[in-house]
Amino acid sequence: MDNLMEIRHVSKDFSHGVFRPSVTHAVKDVSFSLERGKTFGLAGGSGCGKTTLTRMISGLLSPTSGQILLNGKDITGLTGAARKHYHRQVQVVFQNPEASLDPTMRIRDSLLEALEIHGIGSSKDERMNRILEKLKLVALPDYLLDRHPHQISGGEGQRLVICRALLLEPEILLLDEPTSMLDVSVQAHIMNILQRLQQELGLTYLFITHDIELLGWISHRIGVMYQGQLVEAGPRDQIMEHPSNAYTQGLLSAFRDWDKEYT
Amino acid sequence: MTQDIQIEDLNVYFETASGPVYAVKNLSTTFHAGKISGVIGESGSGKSVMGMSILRLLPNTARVTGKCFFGDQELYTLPLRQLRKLRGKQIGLIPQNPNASLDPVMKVKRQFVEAVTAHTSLSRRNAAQDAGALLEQFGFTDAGAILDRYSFQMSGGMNQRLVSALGLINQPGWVIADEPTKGLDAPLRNQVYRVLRQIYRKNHSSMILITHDLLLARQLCDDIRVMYQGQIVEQGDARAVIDAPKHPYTAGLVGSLPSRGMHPIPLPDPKCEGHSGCPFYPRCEKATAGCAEHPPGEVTLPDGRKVRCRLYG
Repeated sequence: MDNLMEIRHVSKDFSHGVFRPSVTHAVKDVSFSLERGKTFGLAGGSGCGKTTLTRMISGLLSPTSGQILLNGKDITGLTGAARKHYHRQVQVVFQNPEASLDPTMRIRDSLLEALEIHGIGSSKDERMNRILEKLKLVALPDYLLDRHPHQISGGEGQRLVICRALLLEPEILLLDEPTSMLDVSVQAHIMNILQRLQQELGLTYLFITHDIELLGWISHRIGVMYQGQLVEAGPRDQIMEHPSNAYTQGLLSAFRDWDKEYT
Repeated sequence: MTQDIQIEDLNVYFETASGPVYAVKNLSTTFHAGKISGVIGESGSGKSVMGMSILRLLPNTARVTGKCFFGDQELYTLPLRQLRKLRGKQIGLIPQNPNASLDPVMKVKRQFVEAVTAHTSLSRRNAAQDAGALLEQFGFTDAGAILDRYSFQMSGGMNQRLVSALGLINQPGWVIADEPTKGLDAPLRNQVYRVLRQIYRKNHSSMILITHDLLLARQLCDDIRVMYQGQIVEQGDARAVIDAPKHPYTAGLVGSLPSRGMHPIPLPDPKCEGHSGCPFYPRCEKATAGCAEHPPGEVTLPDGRKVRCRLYG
């Protein structure tokens, strides 16, 4: 197995209060790995720590303990150019496309900025060519480039965010609930694009969502988080068909069996 | 006994620089008392605009024509003072976007008390007790502590359940629920589903459920209306519509579900722009040449289902 990224015993604590400090263990001793070119699906309910975990992997938070290895190198505590290079390799797509695009900038400028920051392309023409090429990948027309974010639909916005991530030619995409704000028909469209992109470009995905049926469709391996811990992880078929953990069973039956009680 | 809500020839449009934009077009439908009526469709299909028009909660820029009968009252022309008595008391609302619907500078308790005392002579203390009891039904174990908080101190899922409780606090005969499960994870979604179901059974409430959650609609509703670009394109028994859709658009929506293989509806074919026929024509896989020319009329099928598509005559 070719592991591109390894998460080793990662934990994150948040402390609150000055006089009577209390500590929340948002993520507790989580380990898993991302296989190159495959999708690891992370499922869990609200507040289970999946977003905290994503933020640590994307470098927005540093873990309290544990290691995150990309190609065998620990990425926690990277600074300067090394950190910038890491961001180029690991791109994030967040839940809300409207919040991911600057409302005062035209789409074209939002896309160009990503290339400029990373110093990709020597001229504006070269950068524009790269943008047009990636727009085709996500099946978007060129005329959207002249618009502002409020002039496009949610589905177009999310495809633009994916397009912007692809501009940097990353190895890993962290997809944090990328379709939860969208209609089912738009969701189906984006999921199909993501699957095709993975096949064409050999991308590695970490797909995070509370919709376990969606994970069943796109994932090769699935992990289930509950109260900060990874309670179960394994190949897709095993988790979807024969879950051994009670929480996973509850999550699956929440979709399949409506009236059944569970805790 | 509550009465039906009957919409006749509703048009809602917004004036823009490039002419009127229709959110709802020539829509007529009856929401039957004692039933849960579903309205499904994508964002922008006009389903929320239709729902909000019943309580006249649309922005001032919206132009509304048509009639909406609630018993012998016509809601679109009812004097505001009478409409205010009806809002919340006879027709309750569970609005979408809970974070924007709760007052951020008022504790939750005051918002509940205000909603109750606006319509009844209940004391503030009793009103707060009622609110606490209802919140427990919605899965809050520490209702007292929740009532003492502000909306920004809670998660989106908690606020969603709070606005649902707020819409139901006066036990209205009718409830309009606009996307009550949006953004909730599966266990919380089931909880909201169970509470709506329970309230429906206990109070014999009638309900209009506006949602894009097809499986929720199938499970909870008696009948379903499918909206596309301001029109109802299919209407019928909830399970029949989802399990065996007749209109190509409904079939496309159902096929987009993860459990049905996630086959997307095609994007509009640019070659089909500027036609005067069926609104779904540019995306329809079953379109024929005639579809571009004449908008289809509503056809009633033998099982009582109404479909707006030329495939059926």
